[in-house]
Amino acid sequence: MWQIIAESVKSPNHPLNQDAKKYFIPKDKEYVVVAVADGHGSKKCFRSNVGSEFAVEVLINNFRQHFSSNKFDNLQAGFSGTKDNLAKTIHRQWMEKVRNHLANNPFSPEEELIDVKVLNNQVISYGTTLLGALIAKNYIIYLQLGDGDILVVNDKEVTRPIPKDENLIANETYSLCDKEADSLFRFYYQPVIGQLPDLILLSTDGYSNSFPNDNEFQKTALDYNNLYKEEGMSFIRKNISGWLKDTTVHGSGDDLTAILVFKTSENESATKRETNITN
Amino acid sequence: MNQLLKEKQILPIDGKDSCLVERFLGSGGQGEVYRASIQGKPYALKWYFPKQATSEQKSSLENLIRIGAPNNKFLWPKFLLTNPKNNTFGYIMPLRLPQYKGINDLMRRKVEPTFKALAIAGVHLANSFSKLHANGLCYRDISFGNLFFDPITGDIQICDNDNVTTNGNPLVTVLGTPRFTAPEIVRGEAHPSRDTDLFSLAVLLHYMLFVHHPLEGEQEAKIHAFDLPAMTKLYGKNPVYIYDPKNTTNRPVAGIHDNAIAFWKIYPTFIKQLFIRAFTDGLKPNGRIMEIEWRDNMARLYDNLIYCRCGAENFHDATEYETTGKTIVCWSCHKPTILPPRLKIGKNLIMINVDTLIYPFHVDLSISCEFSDPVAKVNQHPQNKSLWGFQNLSKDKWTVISAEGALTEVLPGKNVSLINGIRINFGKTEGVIQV
Repeated sequence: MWQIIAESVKSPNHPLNQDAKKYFIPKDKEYVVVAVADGHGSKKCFRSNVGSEFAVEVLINNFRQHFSSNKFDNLQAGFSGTKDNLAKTIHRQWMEKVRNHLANNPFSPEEELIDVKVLNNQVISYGTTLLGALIAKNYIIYLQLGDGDILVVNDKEVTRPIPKDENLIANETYSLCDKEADSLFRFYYQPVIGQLPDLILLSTDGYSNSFPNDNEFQKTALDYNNLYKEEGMSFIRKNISGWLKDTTVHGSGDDLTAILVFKTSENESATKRETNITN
Repeated sequence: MNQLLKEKQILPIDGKDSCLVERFLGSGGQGEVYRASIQGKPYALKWYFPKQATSEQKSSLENLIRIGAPNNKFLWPKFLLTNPKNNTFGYIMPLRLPQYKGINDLMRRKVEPTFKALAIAGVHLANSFSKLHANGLCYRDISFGNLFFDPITGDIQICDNDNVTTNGNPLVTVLGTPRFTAPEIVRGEAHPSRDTDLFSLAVLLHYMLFVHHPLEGEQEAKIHAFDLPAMTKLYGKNPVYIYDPKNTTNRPVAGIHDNAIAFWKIYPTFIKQLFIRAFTDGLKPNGRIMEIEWRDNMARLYDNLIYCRCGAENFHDATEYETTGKTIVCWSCHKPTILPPRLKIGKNLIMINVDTLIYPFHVDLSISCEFSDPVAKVNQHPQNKSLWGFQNLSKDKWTVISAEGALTEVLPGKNVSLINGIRINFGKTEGVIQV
């Protein structure tokens, strides 16, 4: 039912790629879960590449657990009642991973000198955002903490299930390292009434910041959808790394990560094309 | 992300009027909410997902529309709209005004209401649910997602009223919101009722005042995954109040539950004792605090508000004052507060601050707590700035008896000086000024 491309490119200005990505499709393909995280990469967040990896790992595990324990026969008592628990669990488990990592890898003398504020609260050095989606047959859950973008394409229409947070200005963002991060998660629970979306795109803010405005960025999602229909999956898979590199070099100059989830059923042309290319 | 209705779509109402769908506002577990208009007047329109558009829900809505709102704080269903083509339906309700913010915003500290506004919101909340329950209804899902308040005035609006049923209705689709549901529901022993509403109301008031859940302390801090067994234990099988005086196993943990620790120091003894009772005796249905007791104590909280010289709001703690003879220390500047003049009416003690208003419920104990049409306000003497007085804003004259026994009358619009020992007869009650 779904085909996924996950790609991440390092900023030309960063020594390390601080973004992370991960997805999971179970054998029965009953659902898919995807996650991207953007380690802050600022001077204070010198371990954010580790923090972002922990974030996507914790989210994927929790979404899997969530899917198996919540069948959502009753919508009202379903997700709306459990989202706070999900946020708390993700935040707490990420914190535990960070504290364990710190216990096994204490700050080096060089790291200790970077910032006295971080020395007193070492979790800050792992700071990261987190975006994810759990896509099932009957519903989709979108989740976001901090900046980044989730776009949904239905035919020729692009929507944002979670609107941009107007409280975040300039490069300010919420982070998993915030003490009260669990209260800053935003969710959107979408029961699927008609068709599933054609494409769901999750990306770190390095992508949207490469465009002069949001309309131009949203056109990219439409372009991907058209390319998928016209050229097939392999074409995108073969080229996406180069496209993303070009985008960041001529745009934000930031690490750039995108996960694209394409709906495959009722898309015979794409499947046919895919088969031809593969062969 | 709307899926059910289109912008500019026109829906008929009873074959007479029509409703214009203007724009999508949001989505919830049961359906989608749109801004709509009828004859140019704005409303909110909720439309149910097909799976939720049951005949039970429809007849329940019809019943609620027939009964009408318990008071003007409820954004109550007004008209039912149906779409015969696909057998779905929705309802029209008043539109929530933009100055009303969610309790979620309070939790996230996006809004910083005054303590005064919180106390007023608490009074309105208790009063509103008292009226709903008096009508034989049960809200079923009191939680902070359903309450909105004006952080300036403390006025409230209560949303999501379509799940309200008659008390005792065993409708199983809405069991409430985790963290707000009563322990007996968490344990699977009961359905929502007025008794369980009272528990949820106590949790909501606790969240509002302490910005924290009453049962989330040390036990919560140990949880690794907030799954069903963990939740059932914490909120159902072994609930312990974080400030239970006899059971200290669940105290808030510094660094995790800092709000609870900080706010516990700010509130006066009487309100803390009420919350202790609500989450010790009140963990069982027969020990719940009734709405009226919440209302009166929230009003008392309002009456005990004082300002420190640094400008911070504090609460006078009469219990502490009577025991130690000392005023409370300001939570902000850490200096002792100065007690302002007080008005004592019967058992009630009202702090007289520069912005204090005396309302009808203060001077007539038979009147319901409403924060409108004040009967008195504090005035400063135009020449002698150290002299303060009450201006009579009511339509009735007051009789004032000085400490020496001299009688004078204070006509509407006139002032009486706030001098120690004078008594003011407001008509139904008499108050004494303490300076």
